[in-house]
Amino acid sequence: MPRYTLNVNGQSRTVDVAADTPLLWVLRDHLDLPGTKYGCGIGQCGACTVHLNGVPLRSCQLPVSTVGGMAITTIEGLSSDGAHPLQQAWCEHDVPQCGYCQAGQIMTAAAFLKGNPAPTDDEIDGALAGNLCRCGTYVRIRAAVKDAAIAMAKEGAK
Amino acid sequence: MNPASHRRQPARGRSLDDRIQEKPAPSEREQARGLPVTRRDFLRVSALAGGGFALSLSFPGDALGQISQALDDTTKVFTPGPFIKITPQNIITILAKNPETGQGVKTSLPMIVAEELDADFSQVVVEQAALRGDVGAQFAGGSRSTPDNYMLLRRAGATARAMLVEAAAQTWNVRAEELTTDRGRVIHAATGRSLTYGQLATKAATLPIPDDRDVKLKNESEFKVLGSRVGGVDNPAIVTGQALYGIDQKLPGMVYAAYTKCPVYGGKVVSANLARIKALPGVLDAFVIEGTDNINGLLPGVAIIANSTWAAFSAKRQLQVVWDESAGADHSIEAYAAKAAALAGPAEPRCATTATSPGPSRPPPRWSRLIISIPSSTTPRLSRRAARPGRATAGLNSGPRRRPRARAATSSPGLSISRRIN
Repeated sequence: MPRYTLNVNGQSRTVDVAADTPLLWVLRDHLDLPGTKYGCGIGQCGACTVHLNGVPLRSCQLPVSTVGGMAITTIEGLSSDGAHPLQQAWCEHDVPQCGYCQAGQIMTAAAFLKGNPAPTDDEIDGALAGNLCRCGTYVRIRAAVKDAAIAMAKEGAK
Repeated sequence: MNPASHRRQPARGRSLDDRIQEKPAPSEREQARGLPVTRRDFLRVSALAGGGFALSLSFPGDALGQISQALDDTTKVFTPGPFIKITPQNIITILAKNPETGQGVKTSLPMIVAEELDADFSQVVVEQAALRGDVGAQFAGGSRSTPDNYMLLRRAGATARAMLVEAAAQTWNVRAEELTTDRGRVIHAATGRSLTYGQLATKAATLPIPDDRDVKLKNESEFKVLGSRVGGVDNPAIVTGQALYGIDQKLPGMVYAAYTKCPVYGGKVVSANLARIKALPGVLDAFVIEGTDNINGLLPGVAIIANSTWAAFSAKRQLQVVWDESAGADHSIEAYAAKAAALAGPAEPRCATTATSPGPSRPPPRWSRLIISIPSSTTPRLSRRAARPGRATAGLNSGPRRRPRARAATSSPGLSISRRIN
């Protein structure tokens, strides 16, 4: 089986897996990083969103052989202590219900805020339209993303 | 809010769940019976290792409960602490008895206990109960969790509080009536003294259970915890991607299975390309399962066992099954719609006959015809499914029996599989 050396959350990790194994399953089964969730397996729900060089991508649609040395960031690596403004805003707004989709929501939102630090409600809804939440937490997600954007702007102004 | 709040349940490590999993689990029948827990007679106190204070309930005539009770005082392993556990280090742990599926009961049920215990909920450690035989029915459904457990959990909290007050009364040699409690402390206002529940735990563990009549519940107007806005206890773990879900379970020696059911209810497997599937990389075995006639049970299909999820899933893509769809073959959304249309008859207005009411000053009833228009519409069969894929973890009886702790547990397939392989 081919061997791949991946850059995951700033660490170099080596795995022996089939070339067509989606990054999702490499993370979950082989690297013990189950925070990235398996929802639909066909790139439709967004639960498996991770960053590749800062770009949000569906890890269920990403064969490990295509990743190379690109920097992979998962929910476990978004912050070292859960203190990312989005993670804090998610707690303050009590966003999660079942919580299953929330890692994907947060990863999508984190990449989005980097490119749009002061989004409108419509822009937030648009950016997160590909992340489905069966519990329907969208209203709180939008409020939390807005608050996080404000917190990040304050942090940046310091 | 501090995401690293210490009341977050550790995602890994030896938690209460791990310890109680070593206790024999009750049968499904016993679980399904959901025995009511209402009598204070079944309250018991057990001394924990280290002098802690645990208050739990067991059932009348419940053999497992009696066994664990008998073993409880002499061994550590069988020391469950349903609902409340207080250590001398003042760590207050409250058990969340029902499965959390996003409805919030892992937070709200322990709040009920904390209310009557008069504990500071922000300092409470909440632990999710595994499936066990001594806390009543454990299920999520029908919006029953709060109404079914409200009084039970209030009494559990109030009884523990009464015993802590009594422990303080004995410690200070004052009457219990002179004492009050507030956020995890017993207070003697007259002398300005106070002790934490942790400081009273060892003594409380030696006290007899108070009589029902002596345990006073709060007036709801006195509530501090219930009615306050509290975030979900799992939020910090959820937003940092810590393992909480059934699909995240990883056990030593675990293998992965993908199951292909007949697409039609009542169908059976005629044949499948098992030899080809078994030869695929990572596949450990593939076989037909006859299934049961129970439509809620394990339906006939083909199981593929592999050494990783992806090996199982990619093998499933190459699986070819010949099905005997049997009597179910005629069933489809289209067939149902066609049958409904046929039963409705030709698309003509239907007629019904009605009469105006006769009255003393009115002429005899006149019959008139009323045209009733029957609009026709159909809705497809909707699967009320979650975003989380169905999954289960099952263990063989020959090894240590594990019942996976699972947030959003869909335990029915797991029980079905367990029943077949054990």
